[in-house]
Amino acid sequence: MIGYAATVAACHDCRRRGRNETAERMTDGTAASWVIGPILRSMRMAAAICCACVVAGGLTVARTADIELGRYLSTECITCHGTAKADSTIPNIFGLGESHFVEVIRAYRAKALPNPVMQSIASRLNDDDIAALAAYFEIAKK
Amino acid sequence: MTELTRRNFSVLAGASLATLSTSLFAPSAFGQAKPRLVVIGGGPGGATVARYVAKDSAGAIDVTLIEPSKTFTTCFFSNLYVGGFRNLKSLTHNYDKVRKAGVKVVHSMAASIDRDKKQVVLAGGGRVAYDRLVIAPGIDLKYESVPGYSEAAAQIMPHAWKPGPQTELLVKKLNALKDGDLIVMVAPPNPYRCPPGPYERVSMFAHVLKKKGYKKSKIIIVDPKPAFSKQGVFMEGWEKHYPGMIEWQDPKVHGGIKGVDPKTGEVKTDLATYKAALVNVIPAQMAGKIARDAGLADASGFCAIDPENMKSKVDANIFVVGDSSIAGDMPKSAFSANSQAKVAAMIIRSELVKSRAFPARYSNTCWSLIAPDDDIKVGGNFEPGDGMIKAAPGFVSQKGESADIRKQNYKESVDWYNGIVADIFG
Repeated sequence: MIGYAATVAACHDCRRRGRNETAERMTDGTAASWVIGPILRSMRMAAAICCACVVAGGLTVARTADIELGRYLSTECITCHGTAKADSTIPNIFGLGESHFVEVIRAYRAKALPNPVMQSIASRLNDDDIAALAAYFEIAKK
Repeated sequence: MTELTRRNFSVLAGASLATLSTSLFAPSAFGQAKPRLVVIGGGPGGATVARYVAKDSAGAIDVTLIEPSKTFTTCFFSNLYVGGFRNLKSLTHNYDKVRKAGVKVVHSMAASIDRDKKQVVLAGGGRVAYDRLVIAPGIDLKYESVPGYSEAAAQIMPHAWKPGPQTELLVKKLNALKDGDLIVMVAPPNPYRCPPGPYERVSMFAHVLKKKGYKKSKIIIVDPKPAFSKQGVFMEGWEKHYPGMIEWQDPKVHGGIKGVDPKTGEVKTDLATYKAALVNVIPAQMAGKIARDAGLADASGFCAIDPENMKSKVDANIFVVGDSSIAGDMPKSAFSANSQAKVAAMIIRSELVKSRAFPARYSNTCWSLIAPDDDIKVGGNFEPGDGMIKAAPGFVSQKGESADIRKQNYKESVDWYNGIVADIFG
């Protein structure tokens, strides 16, 4: 498992270079091994998670977002958001930046954004749930 | 691998490499036949479970969906067909993408369930074995709950509470009305599919009559219930858009529904006898026959479930999702069925391939159109509590809302329709 130090290092690296470039670098030369590939992906994920915690949560200690929880919780979102297009009243949330996702859902939870459907959905999401969803949707594809 | 590593592996791979992760690491996949999930009923509940289990287990679970029809016309949004906002084709979907997700779709009628042998018996006599079974047969109608009504009478007084030919018949009769003709709806008692549905339908009747410029026609609802979903905003909308056209009678007004006569077109209550050119009878409802025949329904006609996982309280190998279940505070809706299906799918995978299980969470929203661009909604969250699925405080459209909000609701409902049918059928 990726340790805290590696996570932070990856995170810093990620923020300096830009996430896509980091992802490219990390997967280079791995010959798409089914063992190595996912682990590298998990490192990429850990970097993303770390960024989310620091940027969005203002936390001093990095936490690991529970991506699998995010994936389960996301099934509720996909009911409406799965086919969103540019002109939809229901926006696309796949690939949304984690910090933006967290900010928006927290705003719905605080009823600072208006839609009652989203206010209701956000009302039962705690900070860990939101972090899990944010980390999941940043990498999830339709 | 450690639990944490394995977990991260399968989840991360889930976005891109789900096949490898699940089939290689699911413990039950080593050296033995794949576990088998069979789903009866290809609607919002059944098709969602089948597709989600196939997609998320990526070949580790053998998933079969038994559904007699090759296409599925959604009951949700069928009122918009009544109002002329949609055609039936736009509400009709096939199972091509369900198949692509890895589900074996068998277009056959499931005749019965052999619970002892854990097999579904098909109408043609074939048998399909299961390790877990999901039944999602939807509702059957209790025709006899309205005296004088029957399956044959529905050809004259359509219920249109199952979409397709019945809905087409209703629309044909609606469009043939002359100014001054009377419509009577016999509304259903609780619990029934789509709580706001009858009242949205009446709104669509009124919209069609208004569009034709009819001034003399009226619509009377005789209701066995003292109140109905989104009542305040519906009635406000009726007065705004169709003043004087719609009359809702609760039991205190009509005194009791005595029956209908398809030969004369009459609806009799304690208060009066109405002769109507269009009678829409929506009778009481119960779980689909196969669920009742399998002994899964209680005296209410619906199937008791464990709110933590949607399992039948009668048989732990069987899950009941959607309208045929007793889902506590959750309304019988496509949204609810889809939500329940995802909980069931998650639990089924955890049992069959040891994937991680999470606490059940459910949600629902129902949109209803009163008039063009005037759409109202109700919804909220639901979770297990006190042995049932309990509602958390929800939301409902308010009287006096701006036209902008109502118009936004309508657009949102259309986007929701596109989203949920893609979630159900791929």
